[in-house]
Amino acid sequence: MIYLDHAATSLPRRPEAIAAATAAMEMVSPGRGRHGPQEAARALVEEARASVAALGGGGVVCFIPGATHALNQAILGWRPRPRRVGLGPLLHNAALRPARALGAPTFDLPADPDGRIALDAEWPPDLDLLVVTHGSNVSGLLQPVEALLERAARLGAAVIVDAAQTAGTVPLPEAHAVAFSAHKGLAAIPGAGALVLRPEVQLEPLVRGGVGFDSAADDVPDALPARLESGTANLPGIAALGAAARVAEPWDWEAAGRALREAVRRADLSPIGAGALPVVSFAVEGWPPLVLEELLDRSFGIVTRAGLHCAPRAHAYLGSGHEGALRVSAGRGTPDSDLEELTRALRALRRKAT
Amino acid sequence: MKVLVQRDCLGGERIVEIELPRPVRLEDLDRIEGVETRTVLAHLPRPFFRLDVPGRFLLTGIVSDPRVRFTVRMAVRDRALELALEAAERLAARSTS
Repeated sequence: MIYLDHAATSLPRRPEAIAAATAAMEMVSPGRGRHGPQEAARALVEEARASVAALGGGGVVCFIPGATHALNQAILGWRPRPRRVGLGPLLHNAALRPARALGAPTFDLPADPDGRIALDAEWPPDLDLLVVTHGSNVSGLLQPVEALLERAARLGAAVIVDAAQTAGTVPLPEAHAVAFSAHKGLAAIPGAGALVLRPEVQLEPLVRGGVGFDSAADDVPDALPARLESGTANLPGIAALGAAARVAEPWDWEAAGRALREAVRRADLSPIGAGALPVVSFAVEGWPPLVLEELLDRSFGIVTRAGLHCAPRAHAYLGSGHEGALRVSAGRGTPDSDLEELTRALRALRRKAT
Repeated sequence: MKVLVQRDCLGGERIVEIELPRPVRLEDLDRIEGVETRTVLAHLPRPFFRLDVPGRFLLTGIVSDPRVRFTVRMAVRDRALELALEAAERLAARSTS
């Protein structure tokens, strides 16, 4: 199998992550009781927290079961309730749907044709919360989040960042809230993730329950991370995330992005939008994306992803909103030979059929 | 005849995947009625075929493989399984020639 769907989930998983998860399955729940085994589990969680903090973000790491949960928590739990929410053009449904469900008026952040948010555009004066994607899961575009944070700070607006496609690849921006999963760029396992919050951010928890202390109180504690970590921790997932974060050495993702785009262009196809991450979408005239996905899988053993990629807003913005596109995405270990095979396959299917 | 998958897809169409009792041969494709466009990529490592039957479905698969996929059009999606099974029966029927 040639695996080119790393934007969905990375394979193979980090062996360190699998080993950590496996070991953690034999451990007790952290923060429950004061006995020795609990202390070992708690230490493991805190060790993982420190490793994840080293990925960037500069805030308090709260363990949450994935980017979707983390974005829902950050957006729907935002307090005080925003007056107006600015929405990036390339948002994934994991951010867009909770942002719409929030019920506050929204504002589409102006952007260039590739979806890069325009930093000099006029924003409404009541805009006080921005929700943006760090790296697009459709085009691989990397938003200028640091500059966006500066602009937002001048207006007194906070920024929530969906870093699902960048965590473990690009240093996390120091936004008010940064959400990501363990199983994508970090190549840990599904079911774990984090929400990194600036200490001053106060969210209304979406989930309430036991946290292992203050049990007599009416509500969960105000302090982070406990405020957002009710219930029994997913120790294997957290251990895997921590282990993956510890070994997440820098890699030349820009070269990988260029190589992937070049592989598509060599087949005389055009990537949709401009991007830098190794995530590229494209269309082939006369071939519905779903058929193309089936063909590459069954004829060549190349795994890709067709459709709207849970990002209809991004596809609509980039002009591929009708039936979506075919997406290919590479990871740390993707060899050049896989990209050469992709080019060969794309060229072959465009040759005259009988 | 074994129904492997039934699911919705983008745009309201319905996908039905069926495993035929035997691998598909090129001549089996002739038994599908109403085909507007027939595409066979015979030069691929595993030859891929695609039949467009307007208003009904898109049939795709690999020559010499028993698994086929029907992408049933939205207008007739309520009859997706029935249409797919009917066409699959034709594909798998013994040749009379």
